[in-house]
Amino acid sequence: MVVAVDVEDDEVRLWSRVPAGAEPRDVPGTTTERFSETVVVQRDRDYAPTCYVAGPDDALADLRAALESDPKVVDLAWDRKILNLRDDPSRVLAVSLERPSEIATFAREVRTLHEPENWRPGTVRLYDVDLSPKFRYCLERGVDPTPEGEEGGPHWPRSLSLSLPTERLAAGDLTALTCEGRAAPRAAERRTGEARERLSPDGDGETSILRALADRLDSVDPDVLVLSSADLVPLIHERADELGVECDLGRLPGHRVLAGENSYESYGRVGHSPARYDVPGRAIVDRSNSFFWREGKLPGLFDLVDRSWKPLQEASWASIGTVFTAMQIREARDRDVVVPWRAWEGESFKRMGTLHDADRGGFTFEPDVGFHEDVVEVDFASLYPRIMIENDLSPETVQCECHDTDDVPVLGYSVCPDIEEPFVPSVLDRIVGDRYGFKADLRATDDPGRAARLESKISALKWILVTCFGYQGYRNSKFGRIEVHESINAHARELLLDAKEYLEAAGWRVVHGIVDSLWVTAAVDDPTPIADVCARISETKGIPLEHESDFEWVCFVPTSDGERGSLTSYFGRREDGSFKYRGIEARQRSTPAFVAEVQRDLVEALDEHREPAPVCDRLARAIARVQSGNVDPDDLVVRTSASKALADYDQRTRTVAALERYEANGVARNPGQDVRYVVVDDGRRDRDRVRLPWEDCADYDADFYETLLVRAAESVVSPLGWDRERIRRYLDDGRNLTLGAFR
Amino acid sequence: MTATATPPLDAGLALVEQPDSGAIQRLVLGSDHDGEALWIDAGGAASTYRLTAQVPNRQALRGIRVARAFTAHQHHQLVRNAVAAANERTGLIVAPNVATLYEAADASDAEIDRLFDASIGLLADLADALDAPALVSAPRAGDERRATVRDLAATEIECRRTDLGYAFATDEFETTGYWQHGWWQTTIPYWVELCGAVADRVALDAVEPSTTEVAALD
Repeated sequence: MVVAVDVEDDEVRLWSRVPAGAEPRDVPGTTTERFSETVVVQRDRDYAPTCYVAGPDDALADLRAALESDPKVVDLAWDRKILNLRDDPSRVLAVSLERPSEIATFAREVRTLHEPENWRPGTVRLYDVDLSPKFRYCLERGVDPTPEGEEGGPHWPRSLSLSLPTERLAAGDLTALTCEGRAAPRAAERRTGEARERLSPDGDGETSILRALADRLDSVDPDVLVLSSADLVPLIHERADELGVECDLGRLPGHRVLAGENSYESYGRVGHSPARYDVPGRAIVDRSNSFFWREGKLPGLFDLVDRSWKPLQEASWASIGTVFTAMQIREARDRDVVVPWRAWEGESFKRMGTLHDADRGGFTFEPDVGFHEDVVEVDFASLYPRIMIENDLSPETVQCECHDTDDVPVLGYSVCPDIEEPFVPSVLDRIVGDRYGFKADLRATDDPGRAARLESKISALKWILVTCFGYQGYRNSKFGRIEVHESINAHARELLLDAKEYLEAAGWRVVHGIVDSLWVTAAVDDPTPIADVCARISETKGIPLEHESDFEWVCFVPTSDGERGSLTSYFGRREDGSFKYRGIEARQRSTPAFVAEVQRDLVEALDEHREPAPVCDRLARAIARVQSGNVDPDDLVVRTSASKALADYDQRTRTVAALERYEANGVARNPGQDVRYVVVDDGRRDRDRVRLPWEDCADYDADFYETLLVRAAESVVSPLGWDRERIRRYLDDGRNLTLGAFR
Repeated sequence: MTATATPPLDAGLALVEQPDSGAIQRLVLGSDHDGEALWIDAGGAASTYRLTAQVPNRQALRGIRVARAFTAHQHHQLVRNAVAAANERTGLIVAPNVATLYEAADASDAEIDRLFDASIGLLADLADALDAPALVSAPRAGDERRATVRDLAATEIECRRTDLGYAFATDEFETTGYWQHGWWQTTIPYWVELCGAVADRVALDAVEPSTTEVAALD
């Protein structure tokens, strides 16, 4: 029922949508007030969050004595908690703080004031410190922040979506604000053309826009605000104040800044997280900063809320790893396991040779570059999670101290057989099982609304399953362990090699393989049917090998130096007539829409003719179009992201030119944020090399886009042995232009 | 017989002033320490692909045990674990990029400085207690952390990358012969000397084997 959770230092408020007149679920320690017929708020004024300290008895006794006089601390108690999945419970000091915001201060003081007085660093360890505030409240008080009503029904949370184009937001211009409500059924809205409406039909001035927005907030009374950018929160409130309009985005006045914007680096990639805001009574989803909004929309997000107990707003801006960790933390709490603050647990010492064996990446079988007919793709479904589940791989089972068995292939690590429900596999088993169930429901349903919701959930969960493996080896992972990561890899390699052997023995030839997929063609006239081979492997290995696709043909693309097969670039046509593209330009985020579209067209030409020349004829036609200046500049937008701040670049790249234009337009672009531009004069090195999408781009640089087209064509014909030079030679010889190009 | 191109290693903390992680690998492989080496890794210095490219077979790596840290806290814990794991057979401690994770840590300076000082102090104490060398490097570290390491270091080993390979210099040693790209031929006798014997005669005949060939010899 609870949708929004406000955690402030003097009180916590839980906002629920309920059937008319109904009471919310009881939460001990709260008082309930009715906000409207269907919205109630529960207030908790005595919440004191708790964290834990572990260490030698004398150090803890010292600390307890010192904390007796600390005004931040409202309660001190001895407790027993499991500090490490592999250990029995230990005695810990439970410390409750008066205010939620004081946990961080307290933890820092233990590290930098209390511990240094008498103890060496790391003597005491802190637990349950860095949980996000709303999530922490739900965990500590047992509040399930998942809506209860029928999904999509009348008591389901209401959302209201507000959008303002980036450049208008930067200019502080609210007149282009649009709105999409969910008070009425979405499909009906679409039909009446109201899906994305201007807020005020009678006037475009900011005053009338803000009044219209206030009316809309009043009539819809949304539980969730879906914003094109969270920066709308301060802008709307400031402008309303200036113009004397009463317009609050929350159910109570005002807003709070939860975190400023910042750029960060993770594994060599620069990311950017925008500022975060809280409004009382409503959950904010910032579309520009929500991976799971993009992948799973609200149904996918609510499903993750249900599994993790991370309330909607916190789940919406969380990364995949953060949501997965929250699911593990919930499981941990059920087992009395506390969450370490710092990642202290490293690797154990192992032989260099073992490290060499363990430190290999996933399985790859170099593709046989070229054009292959009648190719079958088989995939191990959810390979890594299933390996963990099937083999009980978990931080507390791998390399246990009680067994000296040789359970992990090649590495010889033991896996403890005595642990009833290994930790990580239990979390994953529910996800794998439920996702499987959603897929079955999806096949069975003929309700399009329900189908869309199921697809959203399937998509959101997919990402958890895709990353759970990498997370075992992630440096800041709360419940990761590098030996588990290595064991998964070792099992996966063995599994794929075994599958390859089975397939070969059954009369198939492997033309490519990577991580969890194999592409095979018949090596003999009558190979064992692929379904039989898959069934046999699935049964023997306990992990389903699925017959994924039948391809009429597949092309494996060579690497750019032409020397080997690229592991991840291929395209092909399935038996059902659809095409699959991986790794080539049409799939790359930066590729302009026009170039992607031409490349798909070239693949179709290849499908038709099975020869490079007609593909190049089709390319010639696309080049002619781009050179004539008749391509819509919107389709020529290059999308990339800045890896550093403008001042830190020393090369005069296109991105730099674009960043200079953003700056001149007053639009802030931080490292990690999207940068979009159209190239208008690639010979220049100043900011006139490019224009931004909303500027006049009609005079684009045709030669630049021609180069992109030729490159895209090269990916299509290189499997047939033609490189860029060969394409150019062919194009230069205009006499070769055949009728095929004009069909 | 070629001259040994790496300096003899004395007991105590030794700061390796090195241009890249290859140099510390070369020092470890070239050293004639007795017994086992404990390698506390940071910043990917223990890349076994590079190491295996430098040795004729995996026997040569047998005496090295390694554990990798990915955060400052893990690094400190590994130093402590090394103290627990060390025994009379431990003849060498290796801790490349000893400051890297502390420099990158996302925690208060006071907390991290304290942790770093404790780690480097423990490494020096461990070297003294074992009467064995502890090789550390701190490339690109801040001045203060480098000063901390230098204060505790008993020796410094200068390392330069030259066209002919690595050149090492200490107060008492300077490289006179180089380990070159085609060093397989020139140094096999050295390995025979060091290891007593090499298991597979084929390894001796292989001139410049590729990494895969080396792996195949196992």
